Amino acid sequence: MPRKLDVKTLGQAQGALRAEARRLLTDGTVSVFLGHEEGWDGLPVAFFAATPEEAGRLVWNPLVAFNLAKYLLDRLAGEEKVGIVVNGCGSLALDRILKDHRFPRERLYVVGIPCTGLLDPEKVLALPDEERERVLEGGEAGEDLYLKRCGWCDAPNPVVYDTLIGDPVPDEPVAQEYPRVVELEAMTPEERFEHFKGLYEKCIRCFACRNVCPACNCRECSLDQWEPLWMGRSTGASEQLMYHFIRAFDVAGRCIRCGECERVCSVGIPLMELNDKFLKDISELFGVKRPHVPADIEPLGQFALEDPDLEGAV
Amino acid sequence: MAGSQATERQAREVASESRPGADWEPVIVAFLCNWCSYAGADSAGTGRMVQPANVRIIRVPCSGRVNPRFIVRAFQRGADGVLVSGCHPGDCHYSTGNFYARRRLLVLKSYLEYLGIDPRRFETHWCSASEGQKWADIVRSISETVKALGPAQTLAGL
Repeated sequence: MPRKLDVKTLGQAQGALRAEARRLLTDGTVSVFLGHEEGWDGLPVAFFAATPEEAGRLVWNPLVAFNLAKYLLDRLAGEEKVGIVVNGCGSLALDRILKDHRFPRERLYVVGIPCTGLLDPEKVLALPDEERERVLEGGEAGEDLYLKRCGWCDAPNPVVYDTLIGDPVPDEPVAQEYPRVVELEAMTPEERFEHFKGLYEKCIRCFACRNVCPACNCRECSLDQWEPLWMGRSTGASEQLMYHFIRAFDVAGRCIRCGECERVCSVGIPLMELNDKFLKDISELFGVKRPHVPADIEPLGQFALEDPDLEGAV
Repeated sequence: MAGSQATERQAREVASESRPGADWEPVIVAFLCNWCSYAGADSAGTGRMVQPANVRIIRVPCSGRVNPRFIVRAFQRGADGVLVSGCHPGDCHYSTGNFYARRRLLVLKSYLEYLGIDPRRFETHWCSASEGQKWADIVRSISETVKALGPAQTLAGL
């Protein structure tokens, strides 16, 4: 369920975050601190604070929707220690990068902030000025303003952190359901095919979904490879199908269900329809209760002798 | 890129073969593991067992080598059916390769169905080197199934 925005706590968290980042940068624990600052249009953008003074520019508000973990890959070179701020889902993304061994934990200092729900920046920005103020300063946000992922979030508290700012929020288990997948499964194969064909035709292959995804963190992406040429360079539904198949299958079992791919899609393709199918299948076939939470060994990187057999299965 | 030109040419050939007609025959791409199923198919051949000529065999080191993309690509390039066959679970030449394959292909099969591809066009079997008869039966059954389903135009004609 969407959690209730708590503007007062968020304000305190922002102050505490700036103070903590300033402390870390001053005493040399980290040489750079990764957080958000306010962008030109009021939306938070990623920001590497490199001096104690710059720590004052960090923000923490209900709009810090995108996860920062992937920006760590820009800091792979060198030995410097990096500070980073995460909320619940941000920590899942960070955990994904850590479990994939893409960034050494020793080079990280993680500041965690329990999350009381995040708003969809696009939707908030589209509101009239007065209403936006009421939402951001009064915390009066309707349920439709929350990010989709808040609806199924079962990790409001960071799972990885060195310092926690504020008190953990009540963390009740949320049953993972995939209503859209169930809906699609009830359709005939022909209807489904036409449905997905429409999505492929819409895709302009801007790769935003791949670039934002914390699970898409390979050193070299097979979509960029020339040899073998997995995906043809021509545009068309057929190649887009291959693109979306590769993207979804490569994050199968590693997707953290943050829904960022869907949020950043420039043509509004509901990408979670593809990702959720894998999450649903993996939980049903292999009995993984929380398939979106990073595990030491991903579900498709292991096996069990009692896995269902598919010989001749129709 | 000579390699990709050759691939395109092969794709066109496969596509033209699967054009429907009265004497239409399906094209089925089979990925066989080197150690069991390929040898099984070989023993079916040396045993002179009668089997339909619809299956095009691609030899792979292990069923674990079969990237799910191969299967989607085969459908895209005009295959009417795809078959993956490896050693029986527990008998893998590399101990566990087919167990990983089993998980992956299980998820893939469900996903293909989700994307609107008839799941009967994709089969997985376990066939050992001595099971020539079993191989012949597999080929016969998948050929009949796919022939009854008709040409798969969905992916290739997208």
